[in-house]
Amino acid sequence: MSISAGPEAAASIHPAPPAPDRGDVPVLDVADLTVGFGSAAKRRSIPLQGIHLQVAASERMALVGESGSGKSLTAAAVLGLLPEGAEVIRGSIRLDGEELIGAPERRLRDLRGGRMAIMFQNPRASLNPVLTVGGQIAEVIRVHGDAGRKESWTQAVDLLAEMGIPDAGRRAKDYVHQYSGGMAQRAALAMALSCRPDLLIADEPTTGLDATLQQQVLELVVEQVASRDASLLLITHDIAVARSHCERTTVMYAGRVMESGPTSSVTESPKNPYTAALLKAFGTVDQRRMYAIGGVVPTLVGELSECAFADRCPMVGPECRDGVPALRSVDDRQVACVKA
Amino acid sequence: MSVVSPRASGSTAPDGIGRVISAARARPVRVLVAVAMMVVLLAALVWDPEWRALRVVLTVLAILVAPAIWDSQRRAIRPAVGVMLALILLALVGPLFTRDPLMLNVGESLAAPGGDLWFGTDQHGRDIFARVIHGAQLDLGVGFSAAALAVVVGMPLGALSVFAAAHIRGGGLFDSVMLRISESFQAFPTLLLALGIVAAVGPSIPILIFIISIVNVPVYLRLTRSAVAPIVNADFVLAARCAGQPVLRILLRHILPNVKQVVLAQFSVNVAWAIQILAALSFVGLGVPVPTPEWGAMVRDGYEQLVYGRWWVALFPGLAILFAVLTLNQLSDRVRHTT
Repeated sequence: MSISAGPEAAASIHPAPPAPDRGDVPVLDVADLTVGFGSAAKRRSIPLQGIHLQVAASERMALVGESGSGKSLTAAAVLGLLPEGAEVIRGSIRLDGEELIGAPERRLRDLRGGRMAIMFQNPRASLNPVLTVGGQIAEVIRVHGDAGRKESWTQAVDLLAEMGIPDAGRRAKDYVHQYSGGMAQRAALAMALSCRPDLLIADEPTTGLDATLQQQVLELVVEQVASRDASLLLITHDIAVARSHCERTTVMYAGRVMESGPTSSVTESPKNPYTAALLKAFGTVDQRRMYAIGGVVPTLVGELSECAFADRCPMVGPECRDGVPALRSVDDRQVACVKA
Repeated sequence: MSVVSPRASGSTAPDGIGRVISAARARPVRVLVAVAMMVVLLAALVWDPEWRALRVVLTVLAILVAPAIWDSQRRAIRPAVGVMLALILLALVGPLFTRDPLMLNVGESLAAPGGDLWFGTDQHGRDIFARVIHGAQLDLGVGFSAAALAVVVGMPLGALSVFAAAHIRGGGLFDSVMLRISESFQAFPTLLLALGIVAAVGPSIPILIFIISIVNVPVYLRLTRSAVAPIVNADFVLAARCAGQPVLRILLRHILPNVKQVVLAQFSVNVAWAIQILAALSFVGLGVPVPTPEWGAMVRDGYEQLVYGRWWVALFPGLAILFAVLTLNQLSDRVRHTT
């Protein structure tokens, strides 16, 4: 399913990341985020084990990992919408320097949709079937501003047109079942960007679309985010998508960040054995056989006491069992591996 | 049944009253029919002061139901809505043109149908046709009122209880409490409950409406709850939360419209059921006080006469119940299939 765009091609489409001195305060700064299910007395599992993640202003960051690595849960935690039974054990989440953990629900509600927005994997399901597409977008605009009915409607139609929906004035009155998958995702993007957020989280935005549409929609997302000077956190399991659309990449495994840095260096010369294994599993055309990582993802019942990847790692040594490796700076990136 | 137009107004179409006026200009015949109907209904309201409240209910209902006839998207429900509307209009205006349903005439008691007496007379010489028509007002009025009251209470409670469990802290407790209460109501036999309440406070129309609605509230609570449960964590609800919409607004604007059709279908069946409960209560003597014309009570008056070959006393009110219940069930089926 994945289109393996070479790193050279990616570099030519999108310019190299800006110098690190540009962003003083990151748009999103997640530090040591640990989330568990169940109460402190009866902890059922700890799916996020100290996540560190920074997204600078107008930067595109990819969050890559297998299913169950905690990508979507990280997004839910950032939005303050953890599922029932989950709670933040420790850590901090800052949006433009403002602490979100412990912030009142009222404040979070203003920030959601206003300063941070999300688009989901299945665009048809993320639009209400009994409300018109334009009406839903206009509603979000009204909730976050003081635009009237007519004004918000006009803005919604303009947004839809901007996202490349033909005859937007008429199509805005349609319901989501009258839209194609690609159009619905464009509408979902319009809704997410309706209040000019500083951060757009795109959770597997193209997984439900076919290969040709994937590229189009991703390019639209990147283009629109760039034109609004917003930051993008693109959650994906497809490393090729990260390679062709994001400046920086963070690799997650079993609720931990394994490696984070400029996409080109992370994907070309991975310093964490897990990143290397993941890249190998995605494969290339000239590879004879599909590569699979041996073993299974550990179940995160308690807090980890060793490297999460130790049981499956080809380079494992006794020092790997000696506590959880911390995320440390190595050259141009951060790596959580004692051997790096 | 009632038609809810898409909420959003187009950038070209005017808002509110302007839209109504432009729609009226486009279809003058419909406006004429609507005005004529309003006049008839208004006349029915002021003419006879007895049971005015019930007629208000019927009038409101007729006005809500009527537009469905013109709804081009729901062609399949037209015949059922038409019959229903005819029935409501008959109940509203019919009583103005019949004889007095309470007038006793011992000389003409148990006369067979024929001549002026289309449906014959009962033991006390009362005109059965007049009583069936007057009974329509009472049975339909009580049936609709009871079902409507049950919807108004049960639907929001059901939606709120499952929504709270998913999105509001501590909502799980509220959900279980609501479920246990509704279970304890449903565990109680309807007639026994009615018997107890009527024995305590005496039979009257408001009490009957209250009893019938109270046994129906759990039905709506559970129905709405089960209809809302699969969509309470739907992506579009999550998307609305991620867009920063308030929780209550999400419940009202995003969730309830999605379950409207299910509740409407149930409502129609429920009115039929309410009419049956009322008839059953009257049949065992717990219904409306004598000599008020009510279908169930009339069937009870007549069933003793059946063995003597006087079939008309029980047959006509029985047919009236059958017809009303069938129409409502039919309507419910059609509504469900046009979702």
